[in-house]
Amino acid sequence: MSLITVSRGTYSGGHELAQKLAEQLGYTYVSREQLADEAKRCGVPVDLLQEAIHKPPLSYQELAQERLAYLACVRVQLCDKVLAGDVVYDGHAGHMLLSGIPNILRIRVVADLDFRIHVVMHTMGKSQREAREYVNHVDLDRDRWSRFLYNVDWRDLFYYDMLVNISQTGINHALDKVLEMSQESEFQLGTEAKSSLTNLRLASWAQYQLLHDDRTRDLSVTINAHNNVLYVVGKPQEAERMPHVREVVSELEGVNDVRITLANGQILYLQDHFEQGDPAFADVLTLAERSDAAVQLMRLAGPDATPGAEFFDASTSHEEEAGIEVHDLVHPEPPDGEPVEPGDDLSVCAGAFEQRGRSAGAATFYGSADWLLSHLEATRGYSMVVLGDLFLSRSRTVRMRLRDQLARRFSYRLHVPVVSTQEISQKVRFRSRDAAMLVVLVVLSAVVFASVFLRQDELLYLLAEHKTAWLRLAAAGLVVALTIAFAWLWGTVVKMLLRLVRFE
Amino acid sequence: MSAEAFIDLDLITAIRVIMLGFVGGVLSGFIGIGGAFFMTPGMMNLGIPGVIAVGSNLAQRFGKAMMGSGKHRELGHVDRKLGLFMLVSALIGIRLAVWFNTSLYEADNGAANAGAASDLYISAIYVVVLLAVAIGMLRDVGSSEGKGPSTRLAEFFSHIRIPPVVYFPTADIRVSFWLVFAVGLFTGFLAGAIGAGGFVGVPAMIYAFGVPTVVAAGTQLFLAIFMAAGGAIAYAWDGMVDLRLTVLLLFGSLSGVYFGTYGTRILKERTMRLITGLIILLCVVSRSFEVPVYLSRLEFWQLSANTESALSWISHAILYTGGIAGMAIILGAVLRSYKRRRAVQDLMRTGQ
Repeated sequence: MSLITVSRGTYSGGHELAQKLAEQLGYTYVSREQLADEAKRCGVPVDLLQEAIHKPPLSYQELAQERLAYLACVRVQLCDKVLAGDVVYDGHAGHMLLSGIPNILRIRVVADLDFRIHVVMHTMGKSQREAREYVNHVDLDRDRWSRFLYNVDWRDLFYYDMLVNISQTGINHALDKVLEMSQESEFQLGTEAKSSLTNLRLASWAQYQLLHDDRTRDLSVTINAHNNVLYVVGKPQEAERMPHVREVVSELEGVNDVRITLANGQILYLQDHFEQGDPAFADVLTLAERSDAAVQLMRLAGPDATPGAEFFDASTSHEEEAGIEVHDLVHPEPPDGEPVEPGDDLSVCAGAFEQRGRSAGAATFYGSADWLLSHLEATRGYSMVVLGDLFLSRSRTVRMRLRDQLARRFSYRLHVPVVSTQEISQKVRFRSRDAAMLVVLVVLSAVVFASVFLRQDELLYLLAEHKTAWLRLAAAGLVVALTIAFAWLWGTVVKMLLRLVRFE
Repeated sequence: MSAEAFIDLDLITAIRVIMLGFVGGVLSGFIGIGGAFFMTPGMMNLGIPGVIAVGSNLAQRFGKAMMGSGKHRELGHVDRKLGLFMLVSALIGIRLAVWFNTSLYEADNGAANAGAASDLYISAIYVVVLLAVAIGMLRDVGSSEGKGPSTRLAEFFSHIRIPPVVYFPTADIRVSFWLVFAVGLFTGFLAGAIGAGGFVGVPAMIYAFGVPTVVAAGTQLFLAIFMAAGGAIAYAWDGMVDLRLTVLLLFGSLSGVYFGTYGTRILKERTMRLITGLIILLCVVSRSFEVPVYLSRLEFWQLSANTESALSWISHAILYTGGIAGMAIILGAVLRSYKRRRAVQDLMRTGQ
């Protein structure tokens, strides 16, 4: 089973390449237009969505539910087709539809602008100026469409396995190269991928049903599936409506159980190795509770840990599959708030999160962090990424440098805050030195207070009785300096006090 | 400007200013805008001349903005280019407003009705602008069925293409430079006049330019630092900032702002708009009760001392009722949410 996605600009030869690929390999050809037509038949207002991308960003913020319905619908369609056999998908950033599925061959087809203008002039009978405008216009539309759907720049080569310039290579040579690459073992969808596709289909189908039921249409939920179990993360303020969610999705074919977690966000916690008793781990749990988020634990095993570098999602993994560790949640003793026994088990850590209602699953990823990142769509819904102890085989200095670089890349790609466990520790723990700092800041705040109120007459004279420009300048400088100083001092005191009483 | 314009600050007044700061802080954390809409009239009700109330408030806004400027920038929610374009015209607007305010104040300084013209002018702008804001918010709550702000204005303004048209990358919009300039000027003028420019800046960016809400809020925060700094310096230059009030306001507002911010995480956007709209409306009604008093002092008509006192009392009562009720609703929701979270966590632990 294979899936090849071809992303291309208009008249760049990608369409022909995709069709020839399907013909030569005997794969099913699926285009974005076919999926859009099927979405229309499902009642999704596709035309409205496509129209909205030409309007200010505000317009498509209003269409969030329709966007989700479109994505859920086409994901189900595409999963069905891929599960039925080999597919060549022709559309921009199509692999993002199956975000998190491993071993897809992602081709980006480009061509020189002059080449594309020339093709448009000949096939559409347009002048050179009209052809140029047409190409630019369609490219812009595609860019907006993929940003709207996945919040990614589909032209970014980071998301592809192969770049083909048709105007340089010619279509036949490009075809040969893609055919050759498609035979590589790493681009064959294995049993893990099949399992992931099945889970993705189930989660998308459940999402689609929720969006089409009046009782659940406007709820903000994210759904993952694993082993015929649906994991639904809903908002705490919508807790009373969660029974409706259960009613809608529990009867769906293939659903054995529905587990609902209430959280306002989702944290992705990446680390080379999870061990209970690690203070950093407890800090992340505290952060999750304070920020009302569920945590997905992801152990980065590295590309060399197992051949083939499989990717899988915590919620879409399958324990029977070879090469993938799936972690059933284990509830440790003693529960809640008490010191835990040292251990070496991701499952136990994940179990602790579930016990506190903060689990969004756990998984091991056999690949580099960059590879993981290239498979994540920016709309995945993480509210934060936590980088724990990574690159453990490297020296401390190198480790810190690599982690900082990784943090920047995650922040750039996913548009969410990325913090290290050290930073979290500083944020959530209140040590004796913090207490000392608090005392110092309170004293300094009191000094500023006293200096203002014990010398009111002098202060007011300086502020108001302006005899010279220098005095005016001094008054303005005093206002700025004292305001900044007091705001910083007292603001920090309040923050520290809230941290002390665990209210943030 | 003389130091006599500053009020005598006894302990009771100081505590009232701190309370004003606290309530204003909770509301500003909740709404994401300054909080001057509550604090400025509250200070004026304490007998502080309007121009000093605005100046001192702008200084506390500057301090508060400095403390909260990092988060949106970290998230990439600040369109710096848009912020800088708006800042240039906003600073011009601020300077104009400060000049006008202080001129009005100093024109009748020393007379029996000292400051009345300035207070009337500030109150009039306050009532007109915030009434429009409150009505807009409440209408949105009633008509859009929680689907978010209307896009009609953004679509209308997107057709205005007076060159040069500038592209703003983070917001991903193209807008005529002149439109940005006009909005910046007006925002700055309001910030300088009543200390509440964000009420216009954020909706204008959302409704007129089509900027995504998070980018508008982030950019306004970025802008607010410089606008508040510009306003504070301009008023301080004219001797209109009472640092004692600024420190007291900061003391209260920095203590309250985190509770308001927490409230935004637990209340729905529609509820937030409703609460905000009603609080602003009550602030407007409160201020409008002071307008006849100022007119009387300016001898447009004659009101007895008892009537003036009664109107002022009603103004006080409405303002404090609105502010404290709003704060109570938000703090109540925060507390309920905290309890609910605990209950949910208990449920998760016991598995029942």
